[in-house]
Amino acid sequence: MIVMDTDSSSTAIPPDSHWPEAVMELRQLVQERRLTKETFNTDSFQALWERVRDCLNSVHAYEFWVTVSALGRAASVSKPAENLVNAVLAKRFEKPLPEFVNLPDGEDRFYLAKSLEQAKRDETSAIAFSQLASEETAEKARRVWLRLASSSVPSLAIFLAKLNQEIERTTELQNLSADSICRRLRRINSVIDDFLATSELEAGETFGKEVRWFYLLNLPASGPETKQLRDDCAKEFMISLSKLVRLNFAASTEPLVFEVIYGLRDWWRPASPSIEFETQAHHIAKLGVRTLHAFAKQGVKNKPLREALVSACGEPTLRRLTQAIAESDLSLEEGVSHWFIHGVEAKEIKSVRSVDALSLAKLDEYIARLLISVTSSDFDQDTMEQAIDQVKDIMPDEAEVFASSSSRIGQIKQWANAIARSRRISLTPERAAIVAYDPSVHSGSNKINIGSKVLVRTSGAAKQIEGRPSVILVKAEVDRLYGQ
Amino acid sequence: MDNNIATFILKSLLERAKISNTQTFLTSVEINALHVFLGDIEENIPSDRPMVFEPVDNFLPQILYPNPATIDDEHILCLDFGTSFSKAFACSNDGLDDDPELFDLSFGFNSAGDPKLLLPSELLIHDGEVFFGDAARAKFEVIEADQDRLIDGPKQYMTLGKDVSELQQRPLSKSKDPTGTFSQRDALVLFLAHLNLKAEDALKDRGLKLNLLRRYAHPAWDKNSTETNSKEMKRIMAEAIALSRLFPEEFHTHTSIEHASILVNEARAASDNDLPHALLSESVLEATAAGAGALMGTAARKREAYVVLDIGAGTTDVAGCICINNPNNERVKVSEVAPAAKAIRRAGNNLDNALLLLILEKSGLAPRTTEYERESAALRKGIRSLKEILFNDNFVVAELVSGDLIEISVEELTGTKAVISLFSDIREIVTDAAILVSGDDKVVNLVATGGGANLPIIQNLTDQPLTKNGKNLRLRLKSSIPKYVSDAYPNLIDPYPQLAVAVGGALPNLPQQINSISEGITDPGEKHLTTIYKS
Repeated sequence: MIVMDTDSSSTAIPPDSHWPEAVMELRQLVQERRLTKETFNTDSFQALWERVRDCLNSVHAYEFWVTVSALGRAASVSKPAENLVNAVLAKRFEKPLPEFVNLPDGEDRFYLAKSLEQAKRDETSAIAFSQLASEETAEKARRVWLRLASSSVPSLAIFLAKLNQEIERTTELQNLSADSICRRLRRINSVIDDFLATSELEAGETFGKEVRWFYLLNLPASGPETKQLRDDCAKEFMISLSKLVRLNFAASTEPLVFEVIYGLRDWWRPASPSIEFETQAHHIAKLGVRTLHAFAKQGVKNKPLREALVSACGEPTLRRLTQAIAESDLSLEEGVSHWFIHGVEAKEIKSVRSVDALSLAKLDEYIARLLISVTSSDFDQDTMEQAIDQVKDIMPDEAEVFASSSSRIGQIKQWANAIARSRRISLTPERAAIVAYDPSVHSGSNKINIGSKVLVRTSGAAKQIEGRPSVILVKAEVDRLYGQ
Repeated sequence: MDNNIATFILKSLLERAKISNTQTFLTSVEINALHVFLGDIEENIPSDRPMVFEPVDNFLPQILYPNPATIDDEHILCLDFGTSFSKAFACSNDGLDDDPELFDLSFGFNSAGDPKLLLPSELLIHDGEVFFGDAARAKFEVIEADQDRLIDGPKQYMTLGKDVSELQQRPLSKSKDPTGTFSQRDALVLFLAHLNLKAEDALKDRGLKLNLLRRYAHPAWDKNSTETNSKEMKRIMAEAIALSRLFPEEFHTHTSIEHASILVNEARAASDNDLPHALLSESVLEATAAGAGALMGTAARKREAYVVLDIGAGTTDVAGCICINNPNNERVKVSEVAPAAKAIRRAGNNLDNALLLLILEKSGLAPRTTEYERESAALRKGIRSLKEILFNDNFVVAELVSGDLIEISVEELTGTKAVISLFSDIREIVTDAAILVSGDDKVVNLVATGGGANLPIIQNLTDQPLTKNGKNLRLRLKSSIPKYVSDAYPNLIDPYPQLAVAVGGALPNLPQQINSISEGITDPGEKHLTTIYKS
């Protein structure tokens, strides 16, 4: 059966084409498993081999390509056969190749690809990209074409650029429906996604742009019409993107890679994609946030990447993810950390004087009350130690616990006094002092005559201010003295 | 006045008295009409309330302070006339795209030399003089006067349910004004003149111009009185500004009763053209200013329902509104759902009292004993701090003068009758407001402001669905502080609920108030054209 090839990079098979006899005989040998080391030395095989080699120099392109395919099939039989074939092909590949003719049979195309792998020629690269993008290419053959195509380019960006161009060209040529385009892209993607993720080729300047083109722009904007296909396609693409971002650092730094998610989600508007899609989107965004964090750790605010992540998962989700990381990484510089979480520069922190004053006034009052509490008679280390001495012989364990607490009392007093001192707060008047009653400083029961002698029951506290009268923070509680 | 006019006036009075549910106050014209019928001459009518003081010590004020030639529109001032404390903030107005700069306007300095943000909303009439703000508080403490003597919270004269245009007919109580000189309106004018003067002093300190536009916040009013109240409030503000500008020395700390009386009467008599109305920007509903941060955060192309709950010291106010963010407009628009506005005269002070009583109850002291009264007085001074600690830590330890320590848990306090009743009332007014504003929405935004913004009732309101008349809905808590304010002024975050009206009201992109509506928005359903047959 003759298949008419519609690909312009290859020539259609002439209607009267047929396989050269020598090539047919070689295939026969392979099929009958007679292509053995022993056969190689026979005269009949030597003669056949000579005729096959002649076919490689045929003026008919079709004959050349079927011969190369048949040789590929022969090479797969055994190592000696491979050596024999490779020697012949290597010699032939030194010369220019005729115009490519796409073979009708899938297996033949596979063996043709295998044979071409050793041809380091410019023509083979074009053929490889054409076959990689072709609708009919089977997965096995496509993988071989991938090896061929990838070996001919210096970067992933150029690889994808060539592939995208080829896909666009064939799409236009074949006038495929959205669903067909989608199916073909899925087939291509299933072959190249591992390569994109793990290749040692450098990414190239336009890698992100080409990734976006491959996963998004090759498809009609509205996506495939069949719902199931749309779901499957989006899911597969998301898994591939996830793999790409996880394994290829360059991809994880490319904002355009993350923008693919937004574009794929757009297929569903105004409805929403499946939960699986959103789970993958979240996963990819999480990977992106890790990269964003890596930049942030170096003090770099990668704005385009953050914006792309916002488009991928939305600001609230991104903020949650970044917040969680920022909280666990205290080494992030404050300004960078703020940007990392919020996406905007931290505003210059301004102070409101009077609000500060209010807070400080409240703080001073708390300190004053703390100071009064720790100096009360029932919070006294000496008293407690005396009590411990009296009970330690009969209750040693309990005494030990109280001894620890007693030490803590000393420590608490020490820090309370230190805080109060630093805020210039002191007790005034002190407990048990006898003072002249002044209602602005003292608080007492009933009406006590101003200036009369009173006993301080609970200390008050005041704040000393240089050059000004002290500020009373807590009034002392006083009792009238009998006889006054 | 002849008999015909007197008859006409008294018929009107009778009509007014019939429809009034409360007391009916007489105007001076009505009193004259009564004199005509009673046959007395005016001068001989015994009265303990002089209407107007005769000019004394050549004090012949003329109230003439028309609009200034130029108004500074690069800044906006907001005067927050609060129930317990008044505050003022100014804000730069460089365009809606830039983050504005806030200027806190402090009312002098405290004894530690620090600026004071809060001005007590208080007046004291004592010994022939009227004291304002800090001076009133200081005098009140020095003379150890009874609480009734203090004119505290004059704002209550103009809260929900009050007709501001009638305040001139309402005298201050005898305990507050033994001379019977001043009306409630006078007290408002006097205090607002003092507040304006203090705010303008602060503007000078901050290097800002005095002739800047000022907003003033007002509480929610009944639908029927909103227009007249707004008009009267604007007039009162204009009089206050004129007085403080023309006679600053009278309003710094205190003035004589005679001068104060003459000034308020002259100001009241001044024509509108002689007052600086142009300095007044739009009046701002307190709820709009307090909830500014949340309201401005309404998502683009969305219409959202809000309930703003302000739990202050003396009153709890609730207001409802619908906010619309149309990106084509410069500012978010807000429409008050007027019937949602409610106020109860119970709030933070009731919690203070409940906590105080609980501590005293646990102390075991017998009520009405000297010890009990003493502990009560001592505890009262620090009760707000104790309350704050209690709600932050879920427990507080209060020390009595006797040295005893009393521990109170938050469950104990919220289990008291007073608190259960307060929280239940708050829940009820919030539910009513939320149901009114919700329309078809199942979720309504709640903005909590005031000193009680962090009380457990707020959490309770958002945790449990609200149910009324078979309708269920949920509240979603929204922060009242605008994002850029919290970013640029982190020290404002904690006290913001107390400063929300003053700060929010000064923001240039404050939501624009549009006409009030009577309920939330519901889908009217499909409309069908029906055939009309004409004979």
